Order: sequence, then structure tokens, then C-alpha cells
Amino acid sequence: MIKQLQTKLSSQPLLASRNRIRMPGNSPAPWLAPLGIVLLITFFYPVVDVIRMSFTDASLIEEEFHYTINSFWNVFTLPGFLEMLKATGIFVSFSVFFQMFCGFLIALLVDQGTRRKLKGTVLVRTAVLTAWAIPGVIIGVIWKMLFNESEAGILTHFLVLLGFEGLPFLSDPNLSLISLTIANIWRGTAFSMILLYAALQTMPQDVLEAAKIDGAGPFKRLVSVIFPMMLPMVLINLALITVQTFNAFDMIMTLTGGGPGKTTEVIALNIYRSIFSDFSLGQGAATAVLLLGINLLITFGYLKMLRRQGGI
Amino acid sequence: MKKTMKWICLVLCLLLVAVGCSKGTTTEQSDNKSKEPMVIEYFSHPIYTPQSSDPKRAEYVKNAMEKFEKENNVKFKITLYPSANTDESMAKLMEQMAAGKKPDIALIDGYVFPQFTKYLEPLDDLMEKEGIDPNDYFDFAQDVIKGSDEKTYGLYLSSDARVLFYRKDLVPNPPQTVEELMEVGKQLTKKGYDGLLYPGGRGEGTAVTTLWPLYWAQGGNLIKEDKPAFMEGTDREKMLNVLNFVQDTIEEGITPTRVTTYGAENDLNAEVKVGKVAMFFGSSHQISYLKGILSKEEMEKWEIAPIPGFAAGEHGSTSGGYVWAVPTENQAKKELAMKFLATTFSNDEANIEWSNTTGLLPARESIFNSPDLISDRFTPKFREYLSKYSQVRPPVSSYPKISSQMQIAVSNVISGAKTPEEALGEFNEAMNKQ
Repeated sequence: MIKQLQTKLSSQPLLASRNRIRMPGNSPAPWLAPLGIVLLITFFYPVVDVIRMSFTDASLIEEEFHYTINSFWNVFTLPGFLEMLKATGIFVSFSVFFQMFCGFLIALLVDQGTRRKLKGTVLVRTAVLTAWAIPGVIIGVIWKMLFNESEAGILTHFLVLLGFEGLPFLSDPNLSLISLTIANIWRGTAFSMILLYAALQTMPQDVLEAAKIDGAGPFKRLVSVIFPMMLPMVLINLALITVQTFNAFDMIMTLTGGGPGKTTEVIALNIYRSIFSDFSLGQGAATAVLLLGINLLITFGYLKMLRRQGGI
Repeated sequence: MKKTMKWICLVLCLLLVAVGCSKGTTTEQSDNKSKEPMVIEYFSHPIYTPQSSDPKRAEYVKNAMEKFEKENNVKFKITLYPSANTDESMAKLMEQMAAGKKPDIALIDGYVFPQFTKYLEPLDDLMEKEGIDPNDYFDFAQDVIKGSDEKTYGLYLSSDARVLFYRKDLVPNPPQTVEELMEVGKQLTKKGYDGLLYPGGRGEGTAVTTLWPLYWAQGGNLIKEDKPAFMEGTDREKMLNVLNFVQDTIEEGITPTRVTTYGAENDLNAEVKVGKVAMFFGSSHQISYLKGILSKEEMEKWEIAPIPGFAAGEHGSTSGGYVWAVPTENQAKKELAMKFLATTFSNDEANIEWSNTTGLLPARESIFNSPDLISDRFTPKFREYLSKYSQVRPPVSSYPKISSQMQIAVSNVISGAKTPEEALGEFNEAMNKQ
């Protein structure tokens, strides 16, 4: 009967396009509904609530609050706001660049080792991945022991053994940011390595062979053939690690706590301090919205680049 | 259409099942007549539970709980602080209490305890029943546990005091003023020692051990009309004195800049073990840790004295400590909770045993007089400093922000990023943004 109805309607093209009956069995709504509800509760609602709170002067310990844009105003006029942006910018840009660079280098080495069936490539891959598997808090503790500036510090001990003086790894305003970035590069290289390694492994070998036959040397093949083919994965990796680094909190908290002063207080740490030290929920939410905006901009920027590359 | 409705109904049913299966709180289990044990929710810092990293404390609390459970047909449900950051844990507890979800027993940090009294009921009658005299607590403890109605809302667990630790073999007479401290420190630095260490980083230890004692020794007030008193006027000069002292210790080489990585008193313990530090600002609670890591001979070298002030005879110290609260509104649970706390931590016998086990200082004066209290050469001095010099952090909601901003100020001065005036100026700006 349904088929007869469809046939009747399709014989009236105008009506059919306007009044086409959508069969229940074809609708995706029932299949997407459970996921939609879960996303609504666990994702959209908290995000909307944080945005709403950013327009209040809510405090964690007081029940009354008012709607105001002062929280945003306070964020931008806070003493140390530019310092915080600078610290975050330096931390993110150097971390991302060196994570990608070191990850690519290690991926290339492991890929070549795998192709030539060299022993030890699995061990190297596993050793690098171990750093990524360790929780951020523990990484902070480990690097804090390494960077300890007293005679009990591991790096200081080796520097003194070699005849140098110990360095103020975590107490100097400039060096502390460099130390933090090094620890983050160590932590995040494995993630880049594994993505880029996957891209190298799935690369069509015939293209590389053709380039070889055409007389392209190793560097030329890397720059003109391998890297362009890997670009979609490179851009995805770039987007992911940039957002991850912007959101970095656990390792920084244990390693420097944002100090000395506020020299390593990145945006994520500032949010934590606003809410749990200053009890200022409104201001913390406003900073969180700022961070969300930055992450969304970066993500959309990369997606646009990816589309231009024809990656998606 | 029918199929669509069926799917919608299925999804709704799944949601209802999920909500129905979610665990409700078990603290509202009534004092039923059945043989089911009454559940008492025990909200605490891990170090005051059977999961404490200190085996003596863990065993003490574990044994006490097991005995109490057996004798009173109760079951303890332990809820640990959600974060290692006490400020954060206290903030979350406050949120919980405001929402009416009160644990039966809660351990609350002393400096925020007065903000919780609006959610608590007086314990005077129950304390009298358990033989605990609220007036036996040190004055600073009574200021915390008593409300404006002079009724008692909590049981101060133990206290601590901030002092100057010094090596007797290197410093025959402890310095009495900061000027003397600087002189002694310079001489020790020439001999290759770290003259003076103190917490100088982003952590509460910096505020309570380095800043407030030096500030209070000058008669400074922390809060005036709900704002930091040292934002202006003579109190500002007093705080500048403190920051200038900190800067001087760095510039004279008495104190290394690495102190900006120490946010807590226990961060200094490794340095003490290395053996190169001659003096440090520390806390009484460090002594049990130091006894654990130093040999008997090494420990013998150390002595304590009041933290030097800016003039002779002027000293200051900060006392901290936790307070037990009994937030439950269930009368039967309240009585049982009070009985447990009294027999485990707070009545005369329990307080002595707890102090002997942990090495923590009692918060009650009469306990210090007890012949059963195991004391060492430090105990009589700590008692003196508790009654003469100790002050507690002001119980105002802005205190965590004041402390956090001053930690940043000190850390900036030590690292050389800012001068004391600039650091205090930045503090004022940050506080004005409230």
C-alpha cells in the first residue's frame, strides 16, 4: 500500500517534492537520538553553562551572583594578562614546533628502520611512546627532580661533575619557561611520532620509487614527495597538539605551579587559580571562554587549510 | 509512525533506567531498627584516614575505626579530599554543604572553618558529655572554633607553629632580629653554607611560614574592613619591610633563588638532609619527617627559636591545623560521630595518644601539662610559642586570593622580576579587581 502511495505521489512531481513522505525506517533521528542526548548533557550543557557563568560575578563560596560583563573586563585588564598571553604563546609555539620536528625525525628513523628490517625499531618506538603514556602530573614530578637546583638535583649534579655551575632551571623567570617547554616537548613528541609514522607507513611506495628513478635524491624526495603527501596528517597533528598544548595544565601545576611569580602561568593554570584560589567562578569562566575561542579559531583555521589541501 | 514512537519510547525508557540506577547518597540511611550498620560518611584529608602515607597514623585511625564499628554497629564510608590542593577541596566541600549534601564527619582546614559555621550546629552539649572543655583550647584555636554567639562548632584537631630552625654547631646563639639574622647568614655563606632557606614559591607555605610571621611580628594586621590592611598606610610599610628583607637575603647571597621553587615547608627537608643549610624557617610538623630522614646525630644538631622580628623581642608565628566538624542533622549520627571523634582524637586520653603517635602539637593547653604526653626538647618551646606568638589566618573569604597574590609577589621579588614596591603595587591592582 505504501508503495502504491509513493508511486501516486511521484506521478505528481510538484506535490511529490513538497509533500514527499519520509518513511520512518529511513530517518536517522532514532539512531542519533541517544548520542544526541548524551552529547547534550555531557558537552553542550556544560559549555553553555560556562559561557553563561562568564557573564556573571559568581563566586564558588557565595550563592548570590549578578549578570555582568565585568568578568571579561577584569580578565583583559588583570595585571599580568599580557605576561600570561606571552608565556602561553611562547610555550605553545615552541612546544608544537619541536614536538612536530622531533616526532617527524623519530618517525622517519623508525620507518626507515622498519623498512630495512633493522633490529631495535620496536624498542625505540616503545621507549618514545612510554613518555606519552605517563600521566602529566608524574611527568611534572619527574622533571622537577631533574631540574632541582640543589645538590640533590640530578641535572645540577651532572653539571657540577662536568665542571659547570648549576643553572637556575626553575627559579629564573626566563629559564623556567624554557625548562617547562623542554619537559612538554619530551612529553608530547611521541604523539606526533605515532601519527606521522602511520602516515609514512601508508605512503604509496611506487611514487617514491618513481621519484628515485627520476633522479631525486633523499632530501629532494623528502621535501618534494614525502612531506607534501603527508601534509593532511601533518595538519591534523598540528591542530591536535596545538589545542592539547593550549589546554596543558597537569604537568605545569606540579613542575612550576605557574612560578616563579607568574612567568609560567599559562591560560589553563590561570583558570584554575581564578576558580580554586580566588574562588572567582565568573572570572575563571570568562578566561575559559577566551581559551575556548582561541582553540576554536585554531581548529577552524587548520580545517580550512586542510580543505584547501583536499584532505577532507 | 508507530516505529518512530517505539524508538522514542525505547530511548526514554533507557534514560529512566539510567536515572533509576544512579546511586543515591547513603548517608541518609536512617537509624533503622534492622541489624544493618549505620553508615557514617567520613570526609577527610588522606593523612587522617587508614590510607595515610604515614604508617603510624594509618594504623591508628584504622584500629580506631574498626573498634568503633564493632562496638557501635556502624560502618564508616570514607570520602577523601577531591584534590591535593586544600583550597580546592574546601571550595568543593562548601559547594556541597550549600547544596545540603553534608557528610556526617568533615575535616575542615582551620583558616576556612569559620565560613562553614553557618552550615553547622553547636557542639557544646555533646562536648560536655564527652568531657571536652572548649575553653581548654589555646586562644587562637578558640577564635576559630567558636562562633560570634560564643558557641563551639568544631573540635580543633592539632596545631602547629612556625619557627626558626638553626644548626647549634654553626650558630651558637640564635639571632633575635632580622639584622642579626643577616649578619649570621653572611658569615655562614662565606663558610660555604646556605645561610637561610624558607618557602618562597607558589604555595601556602610561603605565606604562613615566610610572610605572615615577619609581618605580624611588627604588629601588622592582615585584614581591615574586609580588605587587606597592607594595601595602604603603615601596614603597607610593614609588608614592604618583609619584602625588602626577602630581597636582601637574595642579594646578599644568604638565600639562593631556588627557594622560589619551594611552596611548602616539607620541600626544604631534602636540603636539610644534604647538610648544607644552616638555618631555615619551618614548621613544627616537619620535625616528625626530619626525625625520619636524619640520623640521631644529625637531628641533635638542630634547635629551634622564634622567627626573628624587625626589633628585639618582637616575634610572630602562624598556627594552622584542621578542625573536625559534625555537619550531619541526624541526631543519632551526630552523637555517634561525636563519640568517635572524642574517643579517637579529642578527649584527654585520645588527644594525648594521637599527639604521641603523630608528633603533632596538641591544641589544648592542659594536654601539654600531662605527664603522659611524650615530649622532646622542642615541646616546651612550641608550647611557649603557641601561647605567646601564634596567630591564625583570618577567616575571610578573600584570604585565599590575598595569600595567592602575595605568594606571586614574594616569588617575583626572589626571582628578581620585580622590586618589592612593584610587587606590592601589582598585588594592590589584583586585589582591586575583585
